[in-house]
Amino acid sequence: MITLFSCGTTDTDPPTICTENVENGISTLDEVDADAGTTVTLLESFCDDEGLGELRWDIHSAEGHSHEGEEEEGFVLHSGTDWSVLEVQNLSGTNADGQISFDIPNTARGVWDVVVSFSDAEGNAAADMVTPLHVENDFIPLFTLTDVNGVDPATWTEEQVWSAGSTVTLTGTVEDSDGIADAEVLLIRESDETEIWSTEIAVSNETSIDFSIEMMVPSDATSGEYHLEMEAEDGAGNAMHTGFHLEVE
Amino acid sequence: MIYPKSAWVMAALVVLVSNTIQAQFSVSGHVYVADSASPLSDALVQAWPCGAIFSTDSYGTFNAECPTELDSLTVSSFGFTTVTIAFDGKSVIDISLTALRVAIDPISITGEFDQSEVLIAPTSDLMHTLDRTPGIRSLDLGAGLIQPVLRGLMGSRIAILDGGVPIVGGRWGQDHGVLVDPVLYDGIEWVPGGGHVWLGPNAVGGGVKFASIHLLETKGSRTQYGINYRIGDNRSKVYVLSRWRNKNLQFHLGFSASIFGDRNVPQKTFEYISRTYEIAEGRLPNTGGTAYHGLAGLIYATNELGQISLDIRWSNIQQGLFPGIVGIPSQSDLMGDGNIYSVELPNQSASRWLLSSKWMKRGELERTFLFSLSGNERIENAPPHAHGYGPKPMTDLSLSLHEYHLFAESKWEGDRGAFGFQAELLRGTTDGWEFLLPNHYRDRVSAIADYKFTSGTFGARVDMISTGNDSYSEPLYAINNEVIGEDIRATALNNVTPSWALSWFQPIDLEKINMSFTASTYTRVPSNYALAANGIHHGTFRFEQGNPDLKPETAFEVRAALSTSSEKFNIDIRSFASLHKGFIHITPTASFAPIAHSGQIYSFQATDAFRTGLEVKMNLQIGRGKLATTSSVLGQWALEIGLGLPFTSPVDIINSYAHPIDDKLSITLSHRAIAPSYLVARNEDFTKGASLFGMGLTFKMNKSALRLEADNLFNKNWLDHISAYRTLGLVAQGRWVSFSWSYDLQTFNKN
Repeated sequence: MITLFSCGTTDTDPPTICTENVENGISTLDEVDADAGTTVTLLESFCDDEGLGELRWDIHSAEGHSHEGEEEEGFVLHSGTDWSVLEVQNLSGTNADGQISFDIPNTARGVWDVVVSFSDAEGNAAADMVTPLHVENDFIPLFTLTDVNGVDPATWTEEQVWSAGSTVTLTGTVEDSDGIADAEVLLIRESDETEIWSTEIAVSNETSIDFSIEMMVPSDATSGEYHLEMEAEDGAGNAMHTGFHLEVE
Repeated sequence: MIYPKSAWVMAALVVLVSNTIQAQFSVSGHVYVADSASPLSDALVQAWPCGAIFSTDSYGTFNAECPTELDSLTVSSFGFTTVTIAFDGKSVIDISLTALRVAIDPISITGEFDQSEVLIAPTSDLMHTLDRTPGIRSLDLGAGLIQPVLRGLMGSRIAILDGGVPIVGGRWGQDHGVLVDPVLYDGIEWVPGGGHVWLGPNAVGGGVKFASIHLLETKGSRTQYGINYRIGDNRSKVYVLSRWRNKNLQFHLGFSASIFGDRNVPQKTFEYISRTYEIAEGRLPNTGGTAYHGLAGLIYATNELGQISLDIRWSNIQQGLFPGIVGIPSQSDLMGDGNIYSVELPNQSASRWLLSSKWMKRGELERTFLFSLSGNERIENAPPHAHGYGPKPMTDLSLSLHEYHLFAESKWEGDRGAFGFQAELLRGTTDGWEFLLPNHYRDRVSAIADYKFTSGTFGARVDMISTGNDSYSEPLYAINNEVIGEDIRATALNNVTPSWALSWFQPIDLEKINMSFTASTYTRVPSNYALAANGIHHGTFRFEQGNPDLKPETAFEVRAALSTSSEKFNIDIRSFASLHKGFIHITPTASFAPIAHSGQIYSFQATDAFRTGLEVKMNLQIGRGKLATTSSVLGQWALEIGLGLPFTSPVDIINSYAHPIDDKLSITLSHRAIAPSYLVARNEDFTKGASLFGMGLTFKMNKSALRLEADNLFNKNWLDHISAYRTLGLVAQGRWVSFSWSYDLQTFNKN
């Protein structure tokens, strides 16, 4: 029936990656490592039997989700997650290279996803290609949590659920080569962005401070979604912000 | 059990002679096959004027009641002639159904078989009701909303009539259902195919008609109520529908309320935009909610004035939206909060109100005037998020749509045909930070006529349609959130376009087979959505783009219906073939959306298309039991590329065996086989087939009935190819078991 009624082209094959055309194409990399404040260039080569369409680079924070086939990143304290890159490029002919260069801001730390989407001229879309981008950062202070209520956060597999009125012990370090000028831990209710608990970590411009904080979840805290936020500023005035999502019941 | 034909005739004569003229509120009897005098089970018996629907049991027995004086019965069964029988004061009546040869003197026949309309037997669940009707599929959008799919078409391509009034309300996609509860109506019918002149210009796939509450004939009251609980999504429902008549005035009042929990699914992970997520505890979080429907109305009837009715209907649904529906979810959003009934962000609120009034007066020509005003509101709230660059929105309101709709129909109807006019005005406004469609309008005036010639029926409709929308633009931001320009999302549009429909219905009566053919040709003006959409349509997970240059599409459609019956077997076959010039449908483009997290652009394009389909219903009597099979086959192709049209439903076969355990108790076992979706559109995922088992128990007492129904008994993990959730890789609802009890209380004055 399909043949009977087909009056035009019936290209249903999506475009493909042509790894042999470029060296170090992103499809050949398990991950990309980069430092904040640097410029990164990524490239890939694409093929289609009829004609290529568009290429899109979508770089966004990996916080809160994972992609098919991605290795589990475990517990990551992200910073600067608002940073993202979106760029659409035209591809022409049956073979074309795509390349993107972008600057990683000084505020970014953690894992980003580089999602490469591409189509042919008929609109056949290939499956997205996803590669993690690990961003290290020497500009902003670094928070490390080693122990939360006696458990290493790296072993967490589910969202944390804390009870109202309970006490949670947070142990870790905050460090920066320029010295820590200010550090604070806060519990924020997400529904109205209200701060319901906070404490400052005593600092005096040390480059590394170990801390152990007992946080009291207020007994009148309403059930719902919350965010534990950790903020710090170094001696050079570079501020950072990180944290993780949790639920209070 | 076989009844000698002569015995039935004698019984009918005795009944006719022995009854004197008196008010008739109930009637019992049998429905049997004329040729063999064998009882006909599961025939539908609709009592008039109240419109109540009853069905025959395995002995062909029925008990029909109206709170007012009965004047006629309409009896239908697949494979048999549909007849309307007028009678005077008989308490027992036996009715034979033949292969559409209607001659059972001395009972007079006042109705006429109409092959263009199919009476749908109601069940406790509207989705089940629709799914068991060949040619209809339904999309489950949660326990509160339903989206019928008629011969592969849905949304604005089908008509859904509430007492004759078209239901609007942003019906542009898979996710936009209609707000109706069938328990507050006097029956459901579906009209297959396009080109029906009285259904309006959008009904390419046909129409579903929900019948208004009818007038009780004399003083009295009737109250129907029931409860239902469904294990699975933990849905509870109660309803009540009452009518009281005193002399010339009737009041009716109805209400239904349901609460439903998070949808149960036999699935642990799913993928969205190539991200993998886990599903906690076998439920889709935040898909629970509540649904309320109400009705208040009156009917005033006198010989001089005729009959005037006024109905007010109201529906409201509050429902969570699965976090993948609006925006990109984080895994923490999918963990649930332990309360399956809680509704958090994202969520939707949908409401509908309808004020309708109808005047009917019999005379040489029956006059009907129908007027309605309705409002539809749909609000989606979501965690504020920006796509790409730009400030984060300040409110949770991601999208709102308010539509106000005015409809009027004036009709003159005689023995040989009818003519009339329809007019409607639609005004829609949108708001929210997730732009999809600008403020828009659509007005229509139509002149309609049909005429019954000796050989067949001719119908014609001419429309003038005015469509348009406002322009819309947003600031264009750079990476530092500075405004660098204007993002024009819609340009102003004003179109006035004619459209038309012509149809010819040709019945053919053969000795053992009844056939009919219908040929229709019609045009359809593009919808507002197809002309002006330009944004992320969260319900379909795509960036959808309208095309203001679209022109009306033209179709030529032929339909055929065939039915025949024998002593133990009957079959009803319906088919259609339709050629569409410039069929408007959404198609993937080579471009990606200019904003993040929105994937490829799908745009509305017009290409020639061919659609064809076949629907079969067969019944086979095996002893006291009955084996029933329904099946639908559908093919839809975009001719220029030879690929399928989007959302072509695969072949579907439902087999069921019903067996009476005793006079009151019966059991039904069923199996539904869904074929793989071999016919797919570009970039549309292939969907595997499925095999689903179900069962039911029905215990009927004098006035009440207890039902137990189970669906997807083995909790199979299956994808519904045409579901909005399919795009996310989310399977259909898992096993559910429903308990329901219904009662029909009638008290009326027999004097």
